[in-house]
Amino acid sequence: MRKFTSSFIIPCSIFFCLFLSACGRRELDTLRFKDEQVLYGQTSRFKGFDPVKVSDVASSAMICRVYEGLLEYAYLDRPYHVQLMLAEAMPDVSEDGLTYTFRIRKGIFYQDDPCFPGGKGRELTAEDFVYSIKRIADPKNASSGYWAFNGRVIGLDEFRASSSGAVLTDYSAPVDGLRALDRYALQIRLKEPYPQLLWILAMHYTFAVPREAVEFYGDGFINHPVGTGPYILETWNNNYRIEFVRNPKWAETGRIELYPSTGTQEAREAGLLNDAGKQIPFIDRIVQYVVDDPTTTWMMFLSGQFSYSTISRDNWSAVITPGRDLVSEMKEQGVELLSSPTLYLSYIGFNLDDPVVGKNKKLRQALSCAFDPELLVQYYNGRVTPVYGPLPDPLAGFKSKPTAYSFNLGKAKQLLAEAGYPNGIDPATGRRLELTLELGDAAPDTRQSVELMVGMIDKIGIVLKASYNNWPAFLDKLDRRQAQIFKLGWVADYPDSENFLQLFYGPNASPGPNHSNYANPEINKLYEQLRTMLPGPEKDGLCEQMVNIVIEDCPWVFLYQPMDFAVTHNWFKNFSLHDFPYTMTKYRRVDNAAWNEWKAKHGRAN
Amino acid sequence: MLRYIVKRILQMIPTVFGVILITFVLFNMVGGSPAQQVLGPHAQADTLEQFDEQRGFNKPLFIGTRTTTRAYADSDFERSASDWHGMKGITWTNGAIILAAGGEYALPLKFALRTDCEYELEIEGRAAGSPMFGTEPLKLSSDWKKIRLRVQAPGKIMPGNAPVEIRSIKLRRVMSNPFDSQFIFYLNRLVRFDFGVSSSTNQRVSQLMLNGIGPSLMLAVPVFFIGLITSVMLSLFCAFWRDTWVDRFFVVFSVALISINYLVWIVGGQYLLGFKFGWFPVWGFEDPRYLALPVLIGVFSGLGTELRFYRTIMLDEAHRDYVRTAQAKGVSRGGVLFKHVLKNAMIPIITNTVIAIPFLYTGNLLLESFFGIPGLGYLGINAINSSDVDVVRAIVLVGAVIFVIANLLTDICYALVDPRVKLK
Repeated sequence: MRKFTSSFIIPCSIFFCLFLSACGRRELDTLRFKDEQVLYGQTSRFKGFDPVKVSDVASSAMICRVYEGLLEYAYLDRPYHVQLMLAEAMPDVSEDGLTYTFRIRKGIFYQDDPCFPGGKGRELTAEDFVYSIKRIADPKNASSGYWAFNGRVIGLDEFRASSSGAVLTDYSAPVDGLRALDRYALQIRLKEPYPQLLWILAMHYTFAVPREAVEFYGDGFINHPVGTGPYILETWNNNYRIEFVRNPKWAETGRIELYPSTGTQEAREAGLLNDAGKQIPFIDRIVQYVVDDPTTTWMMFLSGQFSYSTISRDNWSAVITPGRDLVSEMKEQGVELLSSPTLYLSYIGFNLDDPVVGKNKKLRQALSCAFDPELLVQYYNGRVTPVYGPLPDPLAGFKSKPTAYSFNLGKAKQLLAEAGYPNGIDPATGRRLELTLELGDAAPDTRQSVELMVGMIDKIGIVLKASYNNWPAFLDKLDRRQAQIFKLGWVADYPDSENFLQLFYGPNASPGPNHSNYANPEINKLYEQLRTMLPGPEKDGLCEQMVNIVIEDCPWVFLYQPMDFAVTHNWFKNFSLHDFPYTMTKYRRVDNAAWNEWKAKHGRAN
Repeated sequence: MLRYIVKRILQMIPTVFGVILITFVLFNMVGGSPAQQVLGPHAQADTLEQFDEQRGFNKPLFIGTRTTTRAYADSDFERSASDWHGMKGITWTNGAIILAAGGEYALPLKFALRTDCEYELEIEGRAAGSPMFGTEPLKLSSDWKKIRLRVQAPGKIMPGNAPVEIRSIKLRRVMSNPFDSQFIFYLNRLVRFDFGVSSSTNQRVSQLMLNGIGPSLMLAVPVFFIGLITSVMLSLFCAFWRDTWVDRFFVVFSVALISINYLVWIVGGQYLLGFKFGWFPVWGFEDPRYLALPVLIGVFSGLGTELRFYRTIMLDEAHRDYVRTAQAKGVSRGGVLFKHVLKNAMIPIITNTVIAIPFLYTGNLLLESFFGIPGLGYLGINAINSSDVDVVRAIVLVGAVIFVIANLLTDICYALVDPRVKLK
């Protein structure tokens, strides 16, 4: 019996020792030196750091810490515009709008890396941009950014064609429209005017990568970023954690960048300009954890381990009062709530190739009238705002008021009868008309919102059946034009109406982004006109015209535009929501004194 | 013994090949297009085709001389005129398009075809006249029929003096080598232990798996052994105090444990013990102490099933004749349990244990994803969610190989533990 007890007790005691040692909440990480400013946050899974290959939001943010381009978005100014990054001045544009000449800043150095001779980072030159843009065109890189240059730059498509074989791409092959005039001058020559080029140059695809690194690391380059930016990558594990530290090359070469000193009145009032003119970056180290579960992220934010967080739908009612304000206990802790509409539009698309919905405009209009955006707004707890046209706020052509085909149940029934389906009955079968809605995921959130929509359509007598796919299978169906009705969204690549209106351009039909396969010669003509125009009232007029035609034809049911919400702790400064926030980590600041005060007061209070 | 092992190893080969075959077929059928996923929503058809071409995704699956091209998606005019919609001279009725007489109709290609290889055009249609395709005659008659035509470059369909009705059109590229297939390509890589590159993280799959195996084992091994020892101990307890309140309590306790969902333990543990009371870290994998809560939850949630299983085994053994003999000899109750019952119960325990070992390698899916432990289970679930075919295939394949090996080891263990078992 004695033996029995002892053999039982030993594993048990080991077991409990393990617990005791784990007890007590700990910091995820400790400071490396006194007053080190560290930003802790959540991230989604990232795919790598090669600017031309990767385009998901999480990876883009990381790429933009290490790499830099000619231009970037201005942080606090609205409406959005671009400002200088590595360019010395805005480009000289020729009269015909076809030639852009950039002067590049002198004294910009790459970080030290074994790929350079002697391991010392060299100076950035115009040739780096020529090389980087050629990489986008190289089919071996399978760049997700090639669309931005396809058919635009003289000679670049030919370069792409010549490098599509099995042989190694010859990057010394000249491209007429892409030349370094001297060490610091870059010339881009276009086939037709392309005013969106400046937005494109602010996207990370064109950010400068050193040829030495690409050749030194080969396939591994995607995981060995070598850039000129404010931070360098220290450690990373794709499934768990990533860490960036301040790029020492900036101090070594005396590079100085300053916090912006212009901004909107709201930004000024929010104290976002308090650091105007100070040297950036403020933060020494960035540590991000790959946390998938929003509840976990939220708990880590509440316990002070993360400096900022988004608010998931599940936590919404616990955090936000019906009056769209933070609950008082959060306010007491100094948590701040930020919100801003995003340049994203969610819609239900009809496949115009489909024999039922495609050929029957009245049916589409009837369905459009049956969707009640207010119900969706309620479902999302007011985290979305309804849209009544194909463009989100604040782009030119945005519709702020309901249109002829917005929610109106009476009209929906009338249109449905005119469409040949009185009360939703299909005369051919004598039964209720069945339509299939394809969806790209089967998350509980999606299922619930779809049930809501099925209910809306049920009111006019039509049976809407949901078909859930995984994302690649969904895309495949869209590409093959097999989807009858589908729910999709579009995020602006750049803040220009053209970026949304291209979704109605006939030649962009599946597998292009026009998944409705909408083809209207009038729209095509207007779009071709608008595409090359500079911003101005004339362009806005064309937008308006196109929007009205689209609303009448109903290739889409316009659903909503999401709002972006974030909460930050009071020690996290200079955080403002932006639709293109990728290069903006350098502006953030962490107030360690405030953080310590918070820890002393709230650290164990939960 | 040696002969037996060699025989078993030879038997493994068809099993593993079967697994390779099934995973290959399965993931190629359900996996959607990797090109679209990598290149994003803006990508145009020619860009997608180039991507497939570079990576061999447009080759036939197993064997074949024809392969699809994205230049022309198969059109079946059953429901609509698809790509031919809106072209001049085309009308669509009753599941077919009608090409009006006298015109010239080019296939609506997304991009120019390659000039260095042949294509095959398959048309199902009928025509009263004598239509041509470029310079070749289209051998259609007044009855519906399918014809195939080898073409070097795509010509135009010229219906001639009578209209042509077409039900479906397919365009295939002709492959010169029928064995140049995706499966051969895949086998070729496997032979070199090359599992490919993950499409969602752009890292080598072998590297991802090596990174994942450590954390997975660090979680799964303690859960497994602590769980095993605790449940065997408790089952001995039950056997020792059979039919008393101790035994009954543990039976009720284990049924209760089985009935509570795993997720409840995880979410509850994380929220209460981690967040509210602050006894454990909520999430992370910074040092081994971060494993305490997941291990505790893992052990606890598995305890019910295990305890009941081992209790049954112990009780089974406790009714045997040798137990009565030992008791008659005057061996103490504890002695009977430890010296006799436990030893004889080893066989089912070993079976259960060794069978579970291969599953340690895939890690614990839910625990890993909720506690942020960067192991193989977490890797696997994310790969499935993002259709990362190479990763899923590699995990399944390695798992299958380990399972087969573990089965062999179980049989060998039997022979070692139980003198009655002879391997032949």
